[in-house]
Amino acid sequence: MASLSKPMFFTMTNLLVRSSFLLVLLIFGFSVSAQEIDLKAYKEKYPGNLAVYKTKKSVVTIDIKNNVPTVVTHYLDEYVILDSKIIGQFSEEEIVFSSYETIENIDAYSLVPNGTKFKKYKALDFNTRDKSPDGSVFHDDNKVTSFTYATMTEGSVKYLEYDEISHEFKFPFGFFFKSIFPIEHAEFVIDADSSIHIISSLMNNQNGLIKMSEEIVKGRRIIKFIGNDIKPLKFEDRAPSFRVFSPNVTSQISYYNEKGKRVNVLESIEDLHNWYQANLVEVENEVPSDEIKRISDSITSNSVTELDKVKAIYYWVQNNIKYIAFEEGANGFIPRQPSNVCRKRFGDCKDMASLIYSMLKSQNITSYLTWVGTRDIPMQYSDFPSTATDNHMIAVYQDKNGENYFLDATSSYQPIEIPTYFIQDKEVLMHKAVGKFELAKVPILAPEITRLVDSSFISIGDNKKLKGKAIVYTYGYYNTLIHDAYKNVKTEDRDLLVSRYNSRGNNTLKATNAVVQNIEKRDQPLKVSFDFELNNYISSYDDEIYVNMILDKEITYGEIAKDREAPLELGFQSFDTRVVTLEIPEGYKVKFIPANVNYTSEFIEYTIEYKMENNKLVSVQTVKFKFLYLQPNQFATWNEFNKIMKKSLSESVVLKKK
Amino acid sequence: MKNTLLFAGLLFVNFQFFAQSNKSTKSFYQTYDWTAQPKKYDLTAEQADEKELILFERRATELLNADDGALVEYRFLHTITRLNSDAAIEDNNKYYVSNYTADKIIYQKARAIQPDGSIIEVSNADIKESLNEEGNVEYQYFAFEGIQLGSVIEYLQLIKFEPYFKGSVFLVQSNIPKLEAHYDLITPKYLEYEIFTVNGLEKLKRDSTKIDFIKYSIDLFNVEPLRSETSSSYKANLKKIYFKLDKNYSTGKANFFNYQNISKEIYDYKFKAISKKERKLILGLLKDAELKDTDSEVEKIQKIEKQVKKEFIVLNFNINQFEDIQNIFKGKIASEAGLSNIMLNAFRESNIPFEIAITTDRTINKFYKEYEAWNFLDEILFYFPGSKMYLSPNVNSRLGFVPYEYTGTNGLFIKETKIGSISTFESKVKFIDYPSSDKSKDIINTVVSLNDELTEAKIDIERITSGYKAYFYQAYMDYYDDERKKESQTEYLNYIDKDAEVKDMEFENADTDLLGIKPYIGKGKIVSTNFTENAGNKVLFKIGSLIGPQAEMYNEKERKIPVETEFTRKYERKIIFEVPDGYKVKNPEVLNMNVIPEMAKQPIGFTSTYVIEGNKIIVTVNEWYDELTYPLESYENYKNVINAAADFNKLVLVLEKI
Repeated sequence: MASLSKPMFFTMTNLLVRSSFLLVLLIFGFSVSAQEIDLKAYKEKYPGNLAVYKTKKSVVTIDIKNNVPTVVTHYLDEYVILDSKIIGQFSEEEIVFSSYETIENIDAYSLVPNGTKFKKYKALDFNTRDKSPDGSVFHDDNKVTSFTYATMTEGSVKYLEYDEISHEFKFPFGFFFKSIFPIEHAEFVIDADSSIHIISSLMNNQNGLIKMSEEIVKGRRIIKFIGNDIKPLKFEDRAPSFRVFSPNVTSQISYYNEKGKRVNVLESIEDLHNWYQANLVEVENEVPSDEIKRISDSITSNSVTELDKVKAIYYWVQNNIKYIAFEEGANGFIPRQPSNVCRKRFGDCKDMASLIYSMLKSQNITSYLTWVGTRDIPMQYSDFPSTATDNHMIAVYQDKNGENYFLDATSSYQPIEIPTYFIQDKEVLMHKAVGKFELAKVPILAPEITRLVDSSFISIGDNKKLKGKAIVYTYGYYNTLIHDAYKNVKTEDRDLLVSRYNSRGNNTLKATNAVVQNIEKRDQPLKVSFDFELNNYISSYDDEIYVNMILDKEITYGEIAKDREAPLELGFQSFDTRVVTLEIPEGYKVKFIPANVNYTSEFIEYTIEYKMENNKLVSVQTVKFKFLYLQPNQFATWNEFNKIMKKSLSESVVLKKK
Repeated sequence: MKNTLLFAGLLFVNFQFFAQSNKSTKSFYQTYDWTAQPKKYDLTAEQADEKELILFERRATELLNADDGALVEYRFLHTITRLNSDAAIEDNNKYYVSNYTADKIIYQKARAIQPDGSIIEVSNADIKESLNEEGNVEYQYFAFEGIQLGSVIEYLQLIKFEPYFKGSVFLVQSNIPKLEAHYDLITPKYLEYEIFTVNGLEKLKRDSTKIDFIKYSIDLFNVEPLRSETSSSYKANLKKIYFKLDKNYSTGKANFFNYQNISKEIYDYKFKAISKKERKLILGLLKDAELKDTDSEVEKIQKIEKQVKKEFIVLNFNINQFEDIQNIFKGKIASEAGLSNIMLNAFRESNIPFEIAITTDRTINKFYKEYEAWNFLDEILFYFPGSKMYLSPNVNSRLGFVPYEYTGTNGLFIKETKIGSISTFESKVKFIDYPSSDKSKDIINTVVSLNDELTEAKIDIERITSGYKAYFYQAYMDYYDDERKKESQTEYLNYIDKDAEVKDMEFENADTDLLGIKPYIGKGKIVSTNFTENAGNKVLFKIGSLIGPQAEMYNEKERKIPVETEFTRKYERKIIFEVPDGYKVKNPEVLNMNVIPEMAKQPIGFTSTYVIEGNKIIVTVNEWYDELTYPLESYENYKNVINAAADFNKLVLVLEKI
């Protein structure tokens, strides 16, 4: 995924190793009086916290200059250090910015208690350099200004103020009412000329914690969002991005009046599309190059239907174009020429979409370049049409029945029927023609699409060894996840890979003769079969043998903690079936079979059934997850399931000598 | 790059000393080029199956007199790599070249050769540069274009650097096979390198045909890859070439970098006299440490260590402000080098005899005595001959338990001595001993009973760890906030059952300063359904799980690297199992295990015994590893002991109604 949008809302604390060869300057402090900080009271109010975010404030000032709006955001961050443990982390600060912003007027200092007063120490060692791209981006033009707070103690105030001047007034501006520290006072202010009209989207304000007000004062439109005493963000397993569940606001200029005339900026999806479509002109105008034509002709030569052709092209791009993102200035928004992407054999999401579009065009098949936001963005276009709503681009093919195929080649093993999991349930903005777009929604795929069908045929060998053969079929998103591991392993290491990544029985599992089928066939289930042996898995005493037929006990994660705050997020819905067939050893009979289990709720289904088939005992276990997000008020369901599941895992079959 | 943490002040040395006017001012590789038509390689089936294969590699370092007579260093690199998997393509299609300290790029070329023979050369315009604060190029990067499965990438560069004479290295081996590899070291004829090869690599040979300069080289074919293995020091076991400048025939001088003059350089820098002001600050610190005349030497050292590490925040990046004693006292922030300066002077002022020991991470480099250079001088430790204990400026470590990578290897020991009133030093390479296994223990005592339904185990657990076994927990106690502390303590106790909620937690010695002084003790209560299984009228009690999950080496390939562990250690477990009323244990004899390999002094072993007292079964388990390293011929023995513990972990007792 490339980040299509550029606004940055954060200054980040960075702890990377850095060396610098400055002359040794003695550190000087200046005595100042500051507002009183009652450290003891703070410590009592925020026990166990290392710092408190005393003020987190942004003021966005918007004026009309030379007939266009100018946007300047003034940031103010003020922390009180409650425990010296945090000083190391607080010492280095950096402000990251792109070519769409300029940073000015940095005022950074610490106030260190000194008797009844404070001593003020200016931050030092300021420098600005290219930021090393991180995450998924290979090259961008971001810069970073970093500086050091060299003097701080418990009870000190760390203070930072600066202006960020935006060079693009169509970009939104936003604010998060959350931090890893408790926030005493959070305030987001928009101070605009009253001729400027603003739209805002306040997300996740379920508890009404954030109060909003708007008024016109002396020709200024003042919009305020204020929150006080905000609890710190907890890091919890399998939680969605904090944007999805904690309060945040995004705003932008919808229109302004200039000499009595209304000038539209971004009020509607139409406005957004009108602005965005200019980025696609070059891609749309390019005639498919000879290379694109040649490759497309060749890979579709055996295709019968139009969908077959689309499939061949989509899969070719997945196989041959590697993800490398260059995001320099406008390149963060404008897809590269398809011929260029084809020649280079790499690109980011937009580039892949652009190539798919052109390859299809070379076969006279229409597709649409399409913007979409991934699931870690809380807003949909219909909530708030802005560059903060999307961060990704795909191509969409519509068949004759109007069915949409969401073609996202950033995933390298994606069947055509299945959109990438991270855009499920998101609105997409399809560019259909100049001035024409269509909004559609990516479906949430049913659990039946992502299946595991795992069969083990086991028998009891010498020395209480369990011997078996396993055949595992995986479908849907499971395949996109595990495919790479099998594709990249050397044939000779395949048994070892299967042995290590297998929670069947116990860790003595030794797999042999592993065979992987359909590894290059996205439309088929992946099939992995192997023989295995397990030591010390079954127990026996006298004339009895005890076998727990639920071989794989790591079905899912455990109980959800009572104080969990974040929703539980699944990447996708799924449906697993595990069948274990035990051959009853000669001379033995089945003495005890555990009870069957049948649990159904709105979100989860879980069953186990035991049955005799001739001289074989068969257990069939199914687990179905029918949700993507489980909210805190739904956790009880999960824990109820968890209890039943855990009990079902601790049941053994008893075999007795006849 | 040598460690700037420790010797920032030693980086700049004047090398004009080696300057000489000389005719040959052109690099030997100035006119080197790849062949316009790439060579065709005939690969065996096995070679063709390799996911990544280095077809050719040539590396060279060349010293040369520039036109002005000054000595310069050229670094040459030519690689040809075949990419035969998506993973190999993704690992290689983005190329970063760090040109830190580079003076000038003479040439830099890259191209991709497709399976069909077509060639795509990377144009200079596509090579991106990342600039540092001075606007200098910190590194360059580009993406290879057009890469497909089976593509070959070729890279060629010659870069001029400031010369570095003090000890460099070529890594000859990696986890990728090399068909052909060449390494050259060239000096003007009046200078000569000392070259030291390790891990079975043969010596470089002098090329007698070269009379204008001295050239040493080695030509290797089919360099076997070395793959990473569990419990091994992978990087320290790779074939490598170390080299340093050794002789200047024009002056008749030799042996520039020996441990005598290196020691002098370090001594002069670290032991330099401090100013009156600095001394006053150190004395103040010692006063705060509250040393008493009645304190033992060890107690004094501990008090000083505690005071220093409490007083100052240590940042893991180095600016000179943080190395200067006066500034550190002012800002309360120090680098590790700064902290060691303060410690050194504090020990000096309190008349505690000490030496410093300079060493290197043994998992990356072995400290070879027979090759004297700066290669192995990265980290500083303090050694106290009185107690034979070591101390590290690392903030989490404490006396006796320095970061384990710096134990069990050699170090350069430097001691201050006096001749009359003149201070001087003595130095020697000595072995840095590691604590014996009884200093790093992990003891788990459990008392277990079952509920009436025999579905839940009630466990009283006590875990006592010391030394390195406590390090991971105890050493961080002073640096955690309350939430993280609770998390760490829960993890410490629910080690035996990761799902379990631990109640009534009580901890003793949860204090970083007590590391190595007092054991870290945690107690708590767990109720869990994970320890019993229902089997008809029997109940299976998973007693083995009470020792917690165990490392295993069940599925290992043929071992290539000797076993090297982090530290020596002992495990002691005592389980008191209260057999439920009305039940008896049918198979207690499984609890007897004895795996003590026949080796001199029995350095490793696993034993388990039990006694029955009334309704209690009392199990005692011992496991010990007294050595740090085990040669290849002892590998099976080591594996058997590791696996014995993993086997015990799976033991099950059968309970039957009487």
